[in-house]
Amino acid sequence: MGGFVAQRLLGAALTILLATVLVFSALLLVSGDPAQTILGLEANPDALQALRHSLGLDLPPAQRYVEWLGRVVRGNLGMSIRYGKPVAELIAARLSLTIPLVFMSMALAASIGTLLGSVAARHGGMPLDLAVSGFALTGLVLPSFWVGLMMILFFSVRLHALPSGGFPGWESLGRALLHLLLPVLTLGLARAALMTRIVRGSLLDVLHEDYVRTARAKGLAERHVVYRHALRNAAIPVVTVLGLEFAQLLTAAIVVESVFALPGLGTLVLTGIEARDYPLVQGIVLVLAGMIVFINVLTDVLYGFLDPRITYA
Amino acid sequence: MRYLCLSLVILVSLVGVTWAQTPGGSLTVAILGEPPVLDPTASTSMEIARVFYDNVLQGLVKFNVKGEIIPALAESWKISPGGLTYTFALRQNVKFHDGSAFTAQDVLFKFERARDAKSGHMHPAYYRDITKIETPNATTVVFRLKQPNSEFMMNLARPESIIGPKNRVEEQKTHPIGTGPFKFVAWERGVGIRLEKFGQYYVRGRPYLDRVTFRFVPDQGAQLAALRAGDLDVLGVGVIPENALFVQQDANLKLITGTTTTEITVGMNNARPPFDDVRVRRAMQYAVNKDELVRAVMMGFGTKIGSHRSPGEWCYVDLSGMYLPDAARARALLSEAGYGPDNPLSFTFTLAAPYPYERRIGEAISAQLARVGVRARIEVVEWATWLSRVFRGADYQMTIIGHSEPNDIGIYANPDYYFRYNNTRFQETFSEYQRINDTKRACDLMKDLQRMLAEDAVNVWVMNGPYVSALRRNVMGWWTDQPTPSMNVTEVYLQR
Repeated sequence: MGGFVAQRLLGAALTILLATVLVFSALLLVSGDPAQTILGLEANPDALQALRHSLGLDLPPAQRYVEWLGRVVRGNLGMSIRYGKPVAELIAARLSLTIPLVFMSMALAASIGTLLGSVAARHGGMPLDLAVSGFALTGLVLPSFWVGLMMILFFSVRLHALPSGGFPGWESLGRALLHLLLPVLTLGLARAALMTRIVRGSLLDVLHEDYVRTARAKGLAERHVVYRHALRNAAIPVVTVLGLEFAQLLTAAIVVESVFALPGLGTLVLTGIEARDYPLVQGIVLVLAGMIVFINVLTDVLYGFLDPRITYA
Repeated sequence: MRYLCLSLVILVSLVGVTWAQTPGGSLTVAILGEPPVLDPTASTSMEIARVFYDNVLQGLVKFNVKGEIIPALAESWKISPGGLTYTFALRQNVKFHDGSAFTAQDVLFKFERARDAKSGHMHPAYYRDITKIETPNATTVVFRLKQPNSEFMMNLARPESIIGPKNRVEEQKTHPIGTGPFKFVAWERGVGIRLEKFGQYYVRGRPYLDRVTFRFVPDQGAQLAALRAGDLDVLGVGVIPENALFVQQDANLKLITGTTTTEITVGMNNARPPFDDVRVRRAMQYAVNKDELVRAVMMGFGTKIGSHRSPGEWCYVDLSGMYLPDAARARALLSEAGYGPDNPLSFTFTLAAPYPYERRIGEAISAQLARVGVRARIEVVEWATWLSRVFRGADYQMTIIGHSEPNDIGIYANPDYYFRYNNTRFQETFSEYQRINDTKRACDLMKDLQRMLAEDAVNVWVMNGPYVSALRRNVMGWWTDQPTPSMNVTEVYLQR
């Protein structure tokens, strides 16, 4: 087990390194000058040159990357070109919103998905199953920016019940959660649709297994059969999808944060790319890749707990 | 009895006015973009001026809503008969937001820095005619110029000419200190900028508002929804036409439409085929139907123009009728230039992603050009790419962008500007216009410059970008036009 985890962590470190190289190269390939985006359309050439020099943009790209990596190894993500603040500070501030947003959405998706998926599986082929499957399909095809806008129109504009966007910070937990409610619903419902389908499919497979037939033959109640015996075995694909969903949710958060004007990591990465803020984008990629890889390792480890037959050589 | 009634009416009206302009309250304004820094002398980004011009940062003079130059930190000024000496009498007892006194030394420091090309100050060219700045006492500043400059006062009113406390340049980029009615409180990156009433502002009773927040909301749909939900008070700039129609139908909201100094310009690379041929450029003028673009694409918002100047600007000449839509003439000119059905004119039309008006107009123009057999292949690029490739490298054929700077016809006198227009006669006339010390003659020359550009068909000037702003009904005193980019809240109040 220890060896497996160490091997996975080494692979993870290489994956993260490769991701930063790819992103750095991609930013170099698309044209754009951070100094010009800061100083604007009519900036005088002397000021542009001076800024480029002070930002180290006149150095060869390879040297810039190596210097950046050297700083990262020493625990310093550098300064943002766009904002003139430490990248780590900017990312930490944004993560304090994006992480709760993503995890709350994931929890919502997992709860709704498990509940609806198991209900649908129990009533396979019946009207309830069709209704749940219909919900799942609808949730999958609706784009999140549209769902977000509809939520705002209904809950904020029509009912005046919830804020339409923005984030007041965590000083007041109640107000913060109120501001996150619609974004969490928007993100969570779309993912819940997918989870419902996965749980339903996985559970339907398991429900045809011999041990389930045996459990039924023993005279166990159907609820008992489904929730006690079948659901745990159906959980492996669900856990896999949850792990993958984390990356999906981080991506979807970019759109949702934009619609709800939330100062999260998604809007920060967009700003960074638009401004060709290399240290900022690199820093975010590093953190995001790290989180995704960590979740993947965690998923692998969880398999063992869910299914004792899985061993790590 | 009649006098009594009249007196009562006057009294009631006066009370009404005072009541209507009750001070207090806070305002939340949405803007689409976040400024890169907060000092207009450190970047030419218009987003900085939109938030800080006049609200927080002021210069010797400023523009009012009509585009007239009015006193700000200078109470009055005198220009010598030859136009070589400008003497400014400064306001007394003016304080900066940090509590320090504003003096002539701050003015001296500012403009010594501004005219130094190595100082990092934007647009040193605006101040290059200054040879000497004198401060005979704490409230007088004298500028001596090497030659007359008809744009000197206008340049002093621009956002770049704001004055901060001397020796505090770096700090201004993230924590601007000025003399305006609002002081800067905080810049929350990615969220917004907060301002607060400055208690020691030199105009008594101003500002009316206690607090103003500028929130960065990049999504137009989210902006409208937040306004309708009451989470925002004003959509400060760039309301898209379809959202404007929604605003007009909402009883709690109102729409302001006015003029800007933005010329929405189809830029053509005059140094590169096919647009190095004036016949092709003229064919483009005849092929583009500006009325159709204003009516159908912008839903009636915007005014068509025919050269690089906006209708609200000084000495504007309407040349929008010079090339009326005429497909036959466009085809004939293209045929003369060697293009036809067998050899259709084909080029890349580069659109900048973040600008909604320009992008949609560009797409429609591409369809209009197709009617005369021209294939404009649309390519949408990000802003950073546009700046680098099109603006700096002139590596493009056709593009479209709004030029927002007021009085910026001088860009055509620079052959290295991205249009790559190189006309000696234009350059000489512009130089003469800058040096003339006779207002009438300067105006005539300004009109000549506009005509010259239109005759050379340098670009297709589509329309004056409309100023469309949406507000909650109780917001009063908002600028109706944009003679310079400014979300001016200095006179804004909330009607109770």
